[in-house]
Amino acid sequence: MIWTNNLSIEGSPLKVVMGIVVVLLLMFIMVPLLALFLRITPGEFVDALSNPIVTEALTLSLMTALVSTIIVIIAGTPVAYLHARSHYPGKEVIDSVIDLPIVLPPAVAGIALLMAFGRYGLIGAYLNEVGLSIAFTTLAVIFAQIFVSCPFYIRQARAGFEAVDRSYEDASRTLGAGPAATFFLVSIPLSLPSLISGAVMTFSRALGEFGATIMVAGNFPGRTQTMPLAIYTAMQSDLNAALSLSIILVVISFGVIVIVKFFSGRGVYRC
Amino acid sequence: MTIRRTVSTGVLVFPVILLILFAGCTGLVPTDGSGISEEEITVFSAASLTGAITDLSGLFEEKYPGTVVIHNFDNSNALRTQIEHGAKADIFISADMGQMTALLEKGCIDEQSVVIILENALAVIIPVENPASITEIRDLGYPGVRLVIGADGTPFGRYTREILEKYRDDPQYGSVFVDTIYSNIVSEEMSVGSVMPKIILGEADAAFLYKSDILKRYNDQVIRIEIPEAYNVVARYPAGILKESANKNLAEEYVNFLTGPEGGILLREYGFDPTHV
Repeated sequence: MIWTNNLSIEGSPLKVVMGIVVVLLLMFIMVPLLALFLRITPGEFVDALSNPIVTEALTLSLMTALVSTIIVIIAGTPVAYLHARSHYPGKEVIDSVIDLPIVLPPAVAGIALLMAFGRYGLIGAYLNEVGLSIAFTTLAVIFAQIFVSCPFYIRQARAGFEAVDRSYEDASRTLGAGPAATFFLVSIPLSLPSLISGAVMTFSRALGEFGATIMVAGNFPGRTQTMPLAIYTAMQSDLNAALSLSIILVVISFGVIVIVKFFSGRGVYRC
Repeated sequence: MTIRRTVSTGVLVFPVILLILFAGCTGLVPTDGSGISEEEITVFSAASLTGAITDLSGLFEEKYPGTVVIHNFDNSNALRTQIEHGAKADIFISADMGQMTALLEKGCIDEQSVVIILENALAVIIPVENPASITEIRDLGYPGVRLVIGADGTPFGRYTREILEKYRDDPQYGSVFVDTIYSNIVSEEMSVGSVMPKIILGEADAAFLYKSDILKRYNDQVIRIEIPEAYNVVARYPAGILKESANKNLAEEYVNFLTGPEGGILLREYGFDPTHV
């Protein structure tokens, strides 16, 4: 009671303190981002865009993140649907395992991937015998991206499927559509907003992957040097290139938030 | 009305809080709470000196009770950037003269204090499993060898390129040999510390590193191949005291200790050639 009373009083100490905290937090986020844009002139930014370290990293990043996202969608959609629709023993455990990469430090992801797919790794040792080696290849970049980014899609897709009114699915089957037709023509379209925002979040997480990539894939321009690695490398020699890549990533990230916000207002299409 | 007042208060208070926050980040280091006033110095050192400097600081703290040495190990370029942007340090030890010169020109380092403390050279390391069957430098020129070197911006990366160019100038080896070596590079690493795991795990077949990185603790995990003196470079490590140092006397003591007999023995143990012994 006392609290609500205080809150309603104009200029009460609590309100002032809260205002200060909000402003501080906003500035704490805004000032560094703004500083990024102010440090470089538009001309320098445009010049940096033709720098090979920028163009190669941009191309590689967009390509690998796209491939990773597509793989996550293909492999993650059935998992998400299964988890939204059925119960089986140990489901919660599996669910937690899928979520693990979200909270895992990237360095842990990196060393774990090396232990599995490295030349002397659990699986890598066999792959190496048939002449397949993952480390230092673009494939390693994609592995790292999939590992860290797949939970974002699966979580979102599961929530989307869960929100679909099952009576539509039932109606579809009653009307003669098989399970596959129902899945593709009813469940997927109805949960599309969730699927899209999940995919976009996975894409942006893949784009930002750094820690696991540098451990498993190394750092080589055009092959494994994605945008975050290029920023790290260019910081030592070409600050403008590092700033330009950072600005591009800020813009993309902002776009991602806008897209996710746009779709999250409508978790599922309702008739 | 309220909002405007709140915002203006916020704007006024913001810098004050920031100051407090930053003071908290840089100045204060937890002590053991014993109440004894401790003197501390911060050493920014090239990552290749991690082992030697850590040991040396231990000895220094024993010899001068009540002193605490704080370390920051990174590649010399990164340390230079940090100092240029106002990082608080007392001593800077670089893996090449270039970074020190840059800081001297900016007026960050006390010119009188700069001394060359040691010499280092490069060598090639390979995992004990030796997956690519490398026994001499020439073997690095076979197609398919997975080679890791330092990025262009790092001292050890630059030294590596200098060495390779010397091989190019020698008709015995020539351009084709060196070009194949360049095409064998699978990763350009930012610091010595990220090269070693790739060799120990056997992911890479070979790497160019400092001689001093290879000695001691890695002896049973890697094999070292010498680069003949004619092709090798001499890396000179300078140490200097920052003009902003709050504890110049202690910093001087530290540099003296580093260039003195104790420092010399320790540096040699780690594979460096100290210049003052």
